[in-house]
Amino acid sequence: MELSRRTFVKAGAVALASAAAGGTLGVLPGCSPAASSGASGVAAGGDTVKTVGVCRFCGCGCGVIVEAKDGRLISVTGDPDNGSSRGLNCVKGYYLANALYGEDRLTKPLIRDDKSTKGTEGGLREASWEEALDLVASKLRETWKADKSRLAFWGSGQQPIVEGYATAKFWKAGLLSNNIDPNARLCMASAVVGFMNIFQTDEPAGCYADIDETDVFVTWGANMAEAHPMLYSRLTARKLADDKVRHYDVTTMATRTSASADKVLMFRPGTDIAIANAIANYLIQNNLYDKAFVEDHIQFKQGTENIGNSFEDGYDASDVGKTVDAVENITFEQFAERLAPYTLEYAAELSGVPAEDIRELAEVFADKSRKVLSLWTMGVNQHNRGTWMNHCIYNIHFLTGRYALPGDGAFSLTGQPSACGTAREVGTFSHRLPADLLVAKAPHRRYTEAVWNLPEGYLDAIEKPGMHTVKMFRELSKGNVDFLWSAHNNWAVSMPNLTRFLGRGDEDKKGIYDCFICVSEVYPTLSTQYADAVLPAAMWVEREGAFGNGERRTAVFEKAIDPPGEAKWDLWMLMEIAKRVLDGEVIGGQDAFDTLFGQVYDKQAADFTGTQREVCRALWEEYRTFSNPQLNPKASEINAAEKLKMEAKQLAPYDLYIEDHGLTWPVREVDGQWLPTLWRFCDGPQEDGFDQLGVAQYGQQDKAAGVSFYKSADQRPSAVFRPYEPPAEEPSDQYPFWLCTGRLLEHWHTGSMTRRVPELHRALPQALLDVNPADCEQLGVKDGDMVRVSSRYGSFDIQVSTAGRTAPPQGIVFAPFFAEETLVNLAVQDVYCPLSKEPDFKKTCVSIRKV
Amino acid sequence: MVKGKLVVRCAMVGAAMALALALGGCATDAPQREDLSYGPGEPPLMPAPHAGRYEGLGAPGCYGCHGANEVTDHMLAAAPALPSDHYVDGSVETYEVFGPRGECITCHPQG
Ligand code: SF4
Repeated sequence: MELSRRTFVKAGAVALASAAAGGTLGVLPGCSPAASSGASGVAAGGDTVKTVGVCRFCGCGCGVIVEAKDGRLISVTGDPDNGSSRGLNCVKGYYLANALYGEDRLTKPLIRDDKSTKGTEGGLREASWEEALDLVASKLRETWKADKSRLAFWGSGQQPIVEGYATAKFWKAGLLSNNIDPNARLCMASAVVGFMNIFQTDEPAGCYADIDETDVFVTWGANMAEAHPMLYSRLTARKLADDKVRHYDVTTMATRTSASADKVLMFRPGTDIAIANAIANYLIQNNLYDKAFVEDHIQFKQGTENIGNSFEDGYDASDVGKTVDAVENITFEQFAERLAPYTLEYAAELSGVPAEDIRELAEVFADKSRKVLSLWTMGVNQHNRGTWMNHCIYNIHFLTGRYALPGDGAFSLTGQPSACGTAREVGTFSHRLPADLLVAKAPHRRYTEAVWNLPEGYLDAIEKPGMHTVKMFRELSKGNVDFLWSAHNNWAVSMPNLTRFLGRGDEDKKGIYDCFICVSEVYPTLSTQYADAVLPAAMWVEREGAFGNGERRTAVFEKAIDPPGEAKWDLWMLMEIAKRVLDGEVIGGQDAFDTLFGQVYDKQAADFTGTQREVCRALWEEYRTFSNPQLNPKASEINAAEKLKMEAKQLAPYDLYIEDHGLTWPVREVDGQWLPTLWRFCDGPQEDGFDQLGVAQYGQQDKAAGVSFYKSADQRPSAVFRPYEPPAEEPSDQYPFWLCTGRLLEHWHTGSMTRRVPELHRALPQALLDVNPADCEQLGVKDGDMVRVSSRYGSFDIQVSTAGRTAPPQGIVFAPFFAEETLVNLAVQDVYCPLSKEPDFKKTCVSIRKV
Repeated sequence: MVKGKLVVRCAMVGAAMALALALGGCATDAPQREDLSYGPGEPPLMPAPHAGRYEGLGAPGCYGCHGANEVTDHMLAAAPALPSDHYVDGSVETYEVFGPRGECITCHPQG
């Protein structure tokens, strides 16, 4: 018998959705020997507890069922009732239970008495909660009273929603400080600024079901096989289900994602904008664009150009730095004129991609008989022109009328489990307030004051945005930050330019040593080695929480077990510190702490006023008022007067998210039923997932393609012309290679959790440098050799591989960032997109030599 | 990194198998991990070393030994067979892997 590729790959004709409906996927998790043999290890008496959850790790946001017995997790399996994953998980999800049981869980507060021990494994001693909280709160209060520009909170797209909400409220209303930013700045900021510039609303219009419906995938700078494994399984399932489905991978290096591609367009780093512009130009020049869609829906703009790069600390305040957001309206003809120089040949010359391949992709977009779905991640966002590249992808979709339609859209995938739900939606960015509101806009501050019951004008003190992430760490390294609190992240491994930020090249190590650093953590990490105080946190289902994933789905993970030792819920830590810092302070004549948090926390009792479920519900209901103005008369009045359209992102009552295993917003109340929305701005029956009520309330129902962009200014999203401008640094004799860094399947971010799972650690125990064999020959190195990778920022040592997960072309090398012993970010540039302030982790110029 | 030289001794079935085996991995006398145990729902790891195999061949490289055809439901005595729920319609006789199961290492890492 000949085993042909066709036999193997021929479709499971069963579509994912119908399989889920029929229950087939209900057995998906059951492929372990134990499960399939029926010997599950669960006592027959049923003394186990099953809870609904969502995976702790990536932005796919897979649903899981958590099973616990005797206070310990015994299994985590895929949840067939979760609409995002329908029973699918990846290996990180399946082995998630083990991530809680590393031998070195932090179970007691720790304090560092001698700052000179920073950066070593020693120097921390055990302390009582009382002592640790008093110390952290006194340092924060001291800094706050002396100069509040010198304090900072660095949060995360992994911070659960209600905690993020409470943290933002404490920082913005309690401390009147905007020096709060999440690590989502490192992964999603370019997509966010793109959304706001283009649509005036921060959200993807599509959903994961688009993957099951499309005919052509275009992945732009996205290694989904490694970084979004569940969604990649859906992509390959769709490909297997229909021989005619095509995949184009637009990338700088071959990855596992390229394996499913029918064509790989491998471009020279940074030239993706030229390719996208050439496609847009081809569509216009050849009259292949969708005139009705353009006419009905799109306005055209151009913005500030020749914006340079953010090498210097003073870039944002420089003449050009101050103008990067400026745009002006232009006509369609002017837009076409700006694109005209981007011929196929010019783009081919810049990018190295054959003109014929670019033309083929342009023709794919032009063919309206087939649906096309663009998917992108960090290759687009972590880019010195990340926001611009987001614009360029939307431009193509606008010109071809492919946006907000099932299977036909442009979908920016999020990296972290709650980058959307927390970092973006509750406003833990330095320029944001909850629900897309901005600190800089007076009506937005008034609305927030109404929901938070603050005196009118109270938030005017935070009109000016605070420090974004890179600025925060640049200032810290110069000794300009006196207090930093970080939670749900591991900045000492994940930040770029660590040589500077860890003070490694700095004799006096002033910034990092002098600043009082508090780290909330579950395990010892490199970040705790620089902490003055470490607060041991309850992890994942050791408390209740909620995440919001990449398709606007909010899902709750229930508490299943107690945390170990003295580890505590982060929200309790926040309350205890807030109560100490705000002691004696008043807001509008009332006690400040009670005004902000009195509804959930009794400061005298040092405890919450209810169970975790009740506390989460109460905070959610308050947060939900932002998108349900009818719940607050004053907010309702401002919403109507200022035309804020706050209902457009309507959220449902808390308990429904548990009952329904997650819901995608906006969730609409129809005859007492709460109905989610899958396809935003697309008219159609609400019960089928279309945005019927939103379009009816604010939009227009007779426009091209049946879509209505009712949140955009003049109901028209903007196609903004963005030119190709070169990378911040190009390879030179001194630094002849590009270094690209990112994630691989088995490890989540900096590996602080997944490397403590034996199964995951064994599968991927060390970071390797993927190098092209021809480059190896030229360098005189072979597989297994140690090399030193150096940039103008710093250097690290790493083992070479020519058989790794990625296959870079000559001139490019790849190394994952999960391994703290390798610490690739010592050499990675902290140059960021001037608009989004998101660093470019993909294009540092380096030298490589054998050591 | 999984280290150690692999000794490949497999019955070869067709040209694709020959290609699959050339990269090594599915060895009956390759060192096997004996200490692996699983909780409910945890997909089995690869107890024998398969370094570079998936990277080089993708899923057909796995199916070559663990998948079914008209002759047998898996090709090597020591290779665990894919359970039926990994096939279209939950039936091995379809000889076609159910789409969402197509990316083997997404669930089954090296042991
Ligand atoms: S890591 Fe991502 S793909 Fe894997 S189970 Fe978790 S959410 Fe799903």
